[in-house]
Amino acid sequence: MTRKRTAAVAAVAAALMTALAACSSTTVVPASPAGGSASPGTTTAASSGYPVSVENCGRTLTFKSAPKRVVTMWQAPTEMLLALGLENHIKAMSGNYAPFPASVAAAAKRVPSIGTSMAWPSKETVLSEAPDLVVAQSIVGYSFDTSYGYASVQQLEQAGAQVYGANICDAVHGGALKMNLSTPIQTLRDFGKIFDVSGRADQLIAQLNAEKQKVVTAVKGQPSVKVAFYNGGTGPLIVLAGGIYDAEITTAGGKDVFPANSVYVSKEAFAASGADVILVGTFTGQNFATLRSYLVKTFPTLPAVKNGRIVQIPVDDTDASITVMRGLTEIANALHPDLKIPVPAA
Amino acid sequence: MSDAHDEAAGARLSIDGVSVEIAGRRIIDQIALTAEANVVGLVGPNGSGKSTLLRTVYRMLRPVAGQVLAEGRDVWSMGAREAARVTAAVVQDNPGDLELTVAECVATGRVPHGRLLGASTAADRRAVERAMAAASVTAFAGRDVATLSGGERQRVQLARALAQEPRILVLDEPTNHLDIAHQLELLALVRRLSITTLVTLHDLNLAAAYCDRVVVLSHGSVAAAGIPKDVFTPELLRKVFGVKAAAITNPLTGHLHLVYSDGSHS
Amino acid sequence: MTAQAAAVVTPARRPKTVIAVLSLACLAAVVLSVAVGSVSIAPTTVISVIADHVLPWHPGTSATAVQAEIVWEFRLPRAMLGLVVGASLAVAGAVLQAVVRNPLADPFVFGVSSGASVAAVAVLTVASGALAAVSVPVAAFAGALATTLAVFFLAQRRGRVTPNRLVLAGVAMSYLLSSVTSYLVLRASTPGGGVSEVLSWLSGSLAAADWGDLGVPSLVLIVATVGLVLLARILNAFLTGDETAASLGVDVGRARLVLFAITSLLVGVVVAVSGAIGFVGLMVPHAVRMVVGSDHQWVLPASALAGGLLLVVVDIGARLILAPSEVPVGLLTAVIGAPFFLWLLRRSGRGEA
Repeated sequence: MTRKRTAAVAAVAAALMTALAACSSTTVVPASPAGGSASPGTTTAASSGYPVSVENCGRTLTFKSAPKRVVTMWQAPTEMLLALGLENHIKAMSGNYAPFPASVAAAAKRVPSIGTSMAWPSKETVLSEAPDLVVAQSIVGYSFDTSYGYASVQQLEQAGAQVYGANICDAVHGGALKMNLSTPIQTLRDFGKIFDVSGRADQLIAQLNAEKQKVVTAVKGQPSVKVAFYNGGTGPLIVLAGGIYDAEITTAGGKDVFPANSVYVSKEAFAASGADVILVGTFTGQNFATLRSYLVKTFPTLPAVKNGRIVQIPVDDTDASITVMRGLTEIANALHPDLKIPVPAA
Repeated sequence: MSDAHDEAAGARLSIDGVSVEIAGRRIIDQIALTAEANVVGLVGPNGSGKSTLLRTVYRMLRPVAGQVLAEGRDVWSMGAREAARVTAAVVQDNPGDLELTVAECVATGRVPHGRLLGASTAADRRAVERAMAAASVTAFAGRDVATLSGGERQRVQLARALAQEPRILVLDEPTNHLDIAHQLELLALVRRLSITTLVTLHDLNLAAAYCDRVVVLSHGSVAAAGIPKDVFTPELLRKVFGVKAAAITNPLTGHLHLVYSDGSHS
Repeated sequence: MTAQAAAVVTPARRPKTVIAVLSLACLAAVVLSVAVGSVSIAPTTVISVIADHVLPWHPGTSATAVQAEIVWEFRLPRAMLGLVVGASLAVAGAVLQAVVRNPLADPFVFGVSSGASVAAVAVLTVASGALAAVSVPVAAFAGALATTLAVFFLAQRRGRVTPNRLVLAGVAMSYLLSSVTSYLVLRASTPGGGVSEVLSWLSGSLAAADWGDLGVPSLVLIVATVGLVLLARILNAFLTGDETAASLGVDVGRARLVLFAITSLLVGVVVAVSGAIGFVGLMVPHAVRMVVGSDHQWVLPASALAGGLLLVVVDIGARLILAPSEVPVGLLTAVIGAPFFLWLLRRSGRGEA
């Protein structure tokens, strides 16, 4: 027993070292989104001390000091900023779509919210906050769509703010499909540089990588599992695929039965998918029991139903944010129930 | 050939002390007139209540006093469908954009005769054919009503009314929008049918030429009734219509003919 | 009588032929719909599954459990629902166009669909997921009914309801309720699942069809259509104008109310099950009238068949175009139906000199 434990600790330590080494030496470049704009970021320049430059979505953003009046337009980067202890730098947030993870929930309460993920703040509202940095998901469309009365990237830049696209550059043209497990890590790294909190960022990144490595190690050698990630609907069915979801599924030793760009899937395609495990992605307020009973009633021929392998996964945990490895671990445990990998705290 | 026109020959229409109020205003008051197998013209200035009176005959309006009797029976005591088998009306407000062909439009005249489940019977078809022939619209049978001229459409409406095989016919300003030839033609046709007909007319000369009797309405009451020669006197015309008139004889027809002046040449 | 007169006035053989052709086409469409899908299954297998279910001696089938489920539990009820929904919408559209004498009237002219949408979206954004499968249809029907009653009440004046006021009240209500729906969507803060379901419902979809959905709509369709065909003469009379119809012995006010009630029920039931699928109710009656004329004893059954046929065919497209993903059928009905309608429009010169 003791020898095994020592070996395990050594293995984990080795993994940690490897991860740390990997993080600091290479620049992680996710595949470019369609349209030619560059990936969310590569970092250059000195790792501390201003001025700092960051490549983001095909532009170079230069900071002479840590931005103090940040306006966020999406919850994921907001969580990351809060996790880095930057709550005092955030003037206002918007684009929230879920309860905040426990580790940042208290801080989130103290940040004023000026819009939701379906109704972003208008041009006047954002400009009246006099931001020096606006952080959004996707710098194309959505929260920058002038036809809805939102401020465009150009308008914000003219008003003296820099605009950072977190995780995705172009969600309108499939940018979300380009995400993988390194995506939030890259964003954290960028934030570390921009706000001169690289130490904290590296710490958080190391923790995330360690959590990931736990999963990678645990599922090594396990047989691949066919997975369907169901997200509601009775026809057509809504599934989560591609991007961060498939990254998590694949890393957890599974294979998504649906192609990466699937959103609506017909009942018959679902029935014929042969999924061994059905992950049921629930949002806050959704009733898992009802969803499960619908699946059991409608798809009795699926292996997942026959073997009772229907598992709830809170969708918020799978988000490309600070909880991403929690989602990864939950998925891994769902695919390989024997592993019982300890799930990271929220 | 068996003559539907004989079968349809005039029922007795009795309007007996009929008064109508709309929104508290008395529009017509104590109107009395009868018609039987003849053509009775209803004339009067605008607002005298002509259309309102007609509406009581084809059950569009219910009188607050008096009765409308068709063959001695109160029209409101019969069901709506039975009343429609006795009385047919050609009204003024016909939608110009009817999506029907002429044949289909005329066929709606059979609605009051139908049993519910509607495959047309042979009797229905015969009635429609006869009606179209009588109104001279057979040639248009397959055409959309909306493509016809005003005069042709009036004849189609008349055919539809005839398809009901009525014994009382009510025509509200049927000569509006018609050119002279068609005005004369329509009224001549109406005269040839032996159906009891109540027709409102603007043109007093048409009334004089084609009506057996005329009833003059003024401010909702009967001002005069009788044969045109007796009714259309210069005094009446001055009093009711506010015009200076003289009666002469139409050299072509021998009928009474009125000529007018506005008084500026006297 | 001239031969010409007699020939024109006798009911044309064409309507009966048209109905026969449409019936066969419907059958063929259902067969095709069951045979194709995003999962390919051999036609012989499809037939064996159906035969196994339908024939009393259950010959058995070589299909796998999944294939049998797909054919019998998914595709067949969906095709049948397409027939029922398409037929209901087309019949309702035909009746409404006659009763309000407006060629642009469609089954949703009284705000029925926007009322149903508001209710459905409210349920979907508050409690999404399979729970909604139970209460969304009920909520949608309740919303449809409530809106119809409101529109009637608002359109009344001195106890009378004229077609124009009805249409205006319905349109105004539609706009109002659509705004409310949009607002509900805006307020829903969950992206992804919740909103995707809402979008799918709002576009109209047959994808959720199962055998349980068929009972009430089928019953209502049959009873309503039979009733309406019995009233065909009255519908014909409506076409001639309110006053003329009254002179033909039709109690215009009461007949109108009865007809509205029947169509509202028909549409409400259908919208509850499939969302608001546009175009069918508006255009199918026009196309049918171009071919069989305006006599409602033919227009009604022909519209039912043509509407069902259109929807089943379009739904096949909806399932195949982006397989294995699906397009909501409501998005496709106009794309496929409109060109066909325009072709028919150009070809028809019915009765024009």
